[in-house]
Amino acid sequence: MSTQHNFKVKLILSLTVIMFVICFLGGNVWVQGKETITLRYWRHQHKPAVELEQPLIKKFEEQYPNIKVEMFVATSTPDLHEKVLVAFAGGGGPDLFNMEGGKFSQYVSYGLMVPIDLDVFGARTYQEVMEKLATDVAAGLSGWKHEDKYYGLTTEVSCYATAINTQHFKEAGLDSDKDYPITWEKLAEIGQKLVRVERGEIIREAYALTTYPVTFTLVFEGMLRQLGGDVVSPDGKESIINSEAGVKALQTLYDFMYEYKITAVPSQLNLQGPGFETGATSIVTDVGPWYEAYLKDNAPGIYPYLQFKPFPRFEKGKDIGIPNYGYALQVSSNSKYKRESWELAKILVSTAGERKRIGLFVPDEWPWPKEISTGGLGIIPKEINDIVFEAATKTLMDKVNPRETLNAAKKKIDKYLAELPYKIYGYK
Amino acid sequence: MRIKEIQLLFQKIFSQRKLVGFLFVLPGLVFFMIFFFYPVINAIYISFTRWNLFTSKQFVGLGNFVELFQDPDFLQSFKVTGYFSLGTCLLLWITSLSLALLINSNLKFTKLFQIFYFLPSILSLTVVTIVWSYMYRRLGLINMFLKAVFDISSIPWLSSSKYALLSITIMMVWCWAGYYMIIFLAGLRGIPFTLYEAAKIDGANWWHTLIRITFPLLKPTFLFISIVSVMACLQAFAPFLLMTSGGPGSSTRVMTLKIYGDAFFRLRMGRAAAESMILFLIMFIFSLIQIRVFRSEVTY
Repeated sequence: MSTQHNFKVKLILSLTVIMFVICFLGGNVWVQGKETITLRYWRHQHKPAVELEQPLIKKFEEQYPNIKVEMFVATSTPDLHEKVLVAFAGGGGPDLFNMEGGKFSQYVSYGLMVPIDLDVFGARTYQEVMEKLATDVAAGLSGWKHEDKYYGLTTEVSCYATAINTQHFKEAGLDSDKDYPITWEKLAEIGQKLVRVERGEIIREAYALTTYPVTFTLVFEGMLRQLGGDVVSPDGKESIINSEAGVKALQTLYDFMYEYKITAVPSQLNLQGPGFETGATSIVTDVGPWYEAYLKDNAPGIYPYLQFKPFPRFEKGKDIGIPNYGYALQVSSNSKYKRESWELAKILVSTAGERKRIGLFVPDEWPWPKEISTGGLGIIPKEINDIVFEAATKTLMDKVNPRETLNAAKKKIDKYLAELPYKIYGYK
Repeated sequence: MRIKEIQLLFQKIFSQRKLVGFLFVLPGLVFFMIFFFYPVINAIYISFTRWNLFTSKQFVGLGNFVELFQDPDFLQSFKVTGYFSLGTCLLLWITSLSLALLINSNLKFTKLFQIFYFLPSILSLTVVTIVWSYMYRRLGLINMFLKAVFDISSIPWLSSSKYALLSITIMMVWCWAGYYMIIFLAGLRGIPFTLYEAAKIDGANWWHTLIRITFPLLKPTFLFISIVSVMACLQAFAPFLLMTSGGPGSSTRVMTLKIYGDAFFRLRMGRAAAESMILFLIMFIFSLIQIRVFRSEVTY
């Protein structure tokens, strides 16, 4: 009986040990047994861009039969940022990822990416790489430079402009070619003709304000720069958001809601381009050239009435548009297959023309060339976006004096900048 | 000689029945140690360090805790969490107990109402949040109803700091009341009917039986509900992230949202861990207080 019992105990113990060995080592044995390489490529959701890249990945896999590409599409850029950071901290993460410029300073200062592999392009210098790339891709490369090395291959360089619904203009007796909001003052004037009110409620907004912190800050930054101000001083050391320019810009937006009543008080935060695609808004200023393909897919009824116009200016302000932003393919310093990742990146940026067609690079038609050339670089990190948006919502939703909220925002931004362990690129 | 001794020891160990039991428990124990115990210990350690995921951890002692209590953003999130938990729990207890009393009163169609009230609690909180976000919109169902019936202008439910926290509270009460109603109902049905009969014979009215019989005998149920609901409120995260992201301003930035932002966007892991420790301490203290307050010697 005792021998039988001992045998059972030993059997159970042996099986347990075998089970653990299989669990912990099995996976590795399986991976090492195969000869194929798996490249992990992560990007954010944008249907036209994903559809453009899928056949390119297939082409790459055909070209390199021993490489398999696993594409992961995150729901949004912040979602991608969060996943990439957590994965990197654990020593894993993607081999190749497509990230926006606002994160570049942070990523490069923590050593998360490697510079472009010159060999992949058969080049000896970055200048030679640029010559081999399409103009749009090469032009955006400067945004990914750190200590004389380039870390990203540009997949998108964009800026916002004004989108108007021509049908709404027609209904209001306005000519969309002449009466578009060339200035903020003009927007207030035509807005009062465009807005539709029923029983005291705005049922169609003339101008909808973005309630998404990142896009709101881009719009607000554009307004500030037109008035000679900015969110952060040129040396990047302190915030100047509470200048007269800041107060005037925020007061302008406040007046749209409460003085001219052309913008409804938003009912929910974190919405981009609110209402335009449903026909509930006539004008928005937080959409780029990519919006055309998006609208065609998602709101075919509104799409024929979409027209892009320049971002409004102030009557006595500078003639500049909204800050530019961009995305680039970057290779992780954790990757075992850096060269293969750059090979994949090279193929993904090979269709700059197609990217331009779907609005990822700014089109050659008016108003885009001027808007992109005057807008300057948008380099504000997310944390500052959140502070700016918090201040703005206090004024716009809770009716707190703009000077008061911007003074509080300046203090918070200054504290953030003082504690920041790295330098934000773009500032001297 | 030495080898023989080891063999004997080996046999002795393997002949013990306790070891067999231990082996069966081992996988669960390993799982618990890796995924629960280690993270908790690690979080305590991280709370005493400055760490951004990519640099080495720098020990700062109580530095993070001192900074937190001087940080107006943290104090604001502490306050918001307090208001939300207090408001939601009170409303929740009153609503769910009232519903349970109604269902328990043998009125017509009580079974049907019981199902209706319970239904929201089986829905995913994310789904509920999204649906309510639409209902709270400027031209959404709630504003349209208020306009049509009371001629009230649209209320910025989620974009004004006056209403945002209240809006989330209302949604949470709607979502959770059915679940707590069922627990109260179980408690109510556990009270012997003879006690009510005796009270009736003694001339007690509805209010007297409620105060003198129902409430005292519901103490164990209250204890469970109060602990579970306070924990749930203190840990609430998804509705705040999806509905307001802590805004407008910082009027709905609860502690969980602050921890998330500090950890994954500001990469201040030490500070986030310290905030988590404080949240844990609050929950622990609340649970102790509740156990003491609702301690019941009643057996029936």
